[in-house]
This record gives sequence, structure tokens and C-alpha cells, in this order.
Amino acid sequence: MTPPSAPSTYSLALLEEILQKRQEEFSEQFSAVQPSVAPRIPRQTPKSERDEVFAKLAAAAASLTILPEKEALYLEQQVSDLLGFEVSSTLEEKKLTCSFGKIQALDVFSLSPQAHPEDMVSVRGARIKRGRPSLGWAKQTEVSDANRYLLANHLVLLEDWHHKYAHYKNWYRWRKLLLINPFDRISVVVELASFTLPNPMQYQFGGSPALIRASQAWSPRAQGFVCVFFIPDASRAQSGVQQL
Amino acid sequence: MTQVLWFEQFFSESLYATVLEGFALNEQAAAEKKLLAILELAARTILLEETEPAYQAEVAELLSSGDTNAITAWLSQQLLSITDALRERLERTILQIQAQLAAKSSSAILHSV
Repeated sequence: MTPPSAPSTYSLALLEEILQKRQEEFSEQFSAVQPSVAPRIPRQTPKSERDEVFAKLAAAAASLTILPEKEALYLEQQVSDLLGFEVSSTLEEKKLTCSFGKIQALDVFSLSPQAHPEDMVSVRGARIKRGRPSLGWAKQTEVSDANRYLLANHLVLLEDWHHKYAHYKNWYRWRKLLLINPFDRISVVVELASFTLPNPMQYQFGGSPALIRASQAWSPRAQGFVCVFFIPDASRAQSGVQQL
Repeated sequence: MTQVLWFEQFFSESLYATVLEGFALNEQAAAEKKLLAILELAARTILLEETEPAYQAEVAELLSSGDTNAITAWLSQQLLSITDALRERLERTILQIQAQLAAKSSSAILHSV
């Protein structure tokens, strides 16, 4: 398309008119979209509704199912309302291999190799393994606390992992996630520390000893079945362990 | 040092300059401000349209922050189709503005004759 030939002078007033018109159109189209500043206040969810949400999460976790998109979105919305902050199974078009699955107890050294046995106050019996974690060595400032809650997911199974390996590795590293044990109603804010699992066919997630203990993921009721979601705005989620 | 705006990389500089040259020299600075405001609105419209409703508020917050580095970093994570759409729509916006300005200008010339 060839631009029309330039006239002697254009009218500044007309440009002003165009600008005003476009501003009006913009505010009309996006009047409902206000920058989010206020934190979402947890709604007082009735007990029956809470029970229903946890039952749904527990059923999905125990059956290792992949929910249909609509159902998953609805469930995420319900969980977000219950928690008071947003959780989601996809973030910036990226997702985990699954949101529901069984968690394997991993040694802390495969997730955070610079940890010292003396640092591990909460789980002294954790086995030591030499070897670099798949997301690389963490700087001392990144993982200062060996008892932090670290999670692994076998991201290698993602369809386009091998095409976007470098970008993904950077993006997923230390990403904040929310792990929910729906059976004991415990949630833990965790960080993704590794993208490989020793036994990916049997387990969907791996957890550091501190995480396994704090989330009670292997309680007689939970039997390792958990749900994991992204936290789009991690600053709104209270870190650590929460009894829901 | 002139600050580079986050959406400036998505339209042709020569096309933009053609429109600016159409204004009288003493009006060009004011015209540039208005033109950039229109293009920013167009860019924000496109990006908000392409964003899922659930995240629109966050994107709107980011775009209205005017933080060039943060917006550029965010844009680099978006799909190529979004940045392509942005490029195409911004150039189309410039052409539309130019056509509107030229139509008014030529009708003024006709009336004077």
C-alpha cells in the first residue's frame, strides 16, 4: 500500500480530534479492565463449598487425571476464591506436565546440592547424593535455606521442551508454585528446583524432604497424591505452609 | 538522551516520518506527541485484545506503568503472532491517520480553489 502523497500541511486540530476519539474508544472498550492493585480478599466460603472443592481436588489428584479445559478453569477459580489469591495451571502459555499427581520424596542434595547436612534442621535423615540438579547450581543467595520447600517436575515430557530448552530452563527455574495436599488440606508455597525425576513414569512430582514433611504428602490419607498450581502473583501468596 | 518508547520498535520509522513531515515545522513537536499518544493507545488496545480476560488487569497495569524494560521483557516472552499483529496494526494506524489528515487537507485545498 503506497501512502498518499504528502500535502502542504496537515491540521494539528484534526490530529487532536483523532487522539480524543481514540481515547474515548479505548476507555469504552476496556472500561472493565482496571490495573489490579487491591489484593483479593478471601471470600468466606461455606463449609459445604469448601468440602466440595477439596473433594474435587482429591478426586483429580488420586485419579492422576487431566481435566477438560473448562472444568480445570472452573476448579482453579474455585481454589483461587478459597485461597484469596490467584492460582492457575498455565502461566504465560507455559504449564507443568500435569497439575495433579503423585509426589516422590527426593533427597535434598539432588535439588539443592550446596546444602550442608548441618543446615538441615528439620530433616536430618535426608540421604546425600552427589550431582548437579538439572536446573543448575543455585547461587548461595538463591537458596540460602536448605530447609526450603523445593519441587521437581519432569518437564522433559513437555511437547516442545527440546525446541525451547534454553528459554524454558530460564523461565521455570525457581518459579513459585503452590502445592496442595487436598486430603489433609495443607498448602505449601514451593519453588521449582529440578526438571527431571528419577522415576517419571511412577511419579509426577518430586519434593525435598522438608516439603514432604511439611505438606504431609505421604500421610495415610494422601498417599502421595497432590495438586500443583502456578501462582501468577507470588507476592500475594503467604509463603510457607498453610492449613486451609 | 531521548527515551525509546516500548512500542517504537513495532512501526516503520520512515512511514512515521512521512506523516510528521506533513505538518508545518513549528507544529511538528506537538504533532509528534499526539501521534505517539495515538500509537501507544493502538498498541495497548492490540495487546489487551490478545490477552486472556483473566490477565488483562495485570497487563493493563504493566502497560500503564510505562516501564520500557519490563514491557520489552514481557513482550519478548509473548508469541511471535502477537508481536506480528502489533507491527501490522501500528503501521495500519499510521496509514489511517495519514489518510484522514490528507483527506481533510485536500478538501481544504479544493474549497479554497
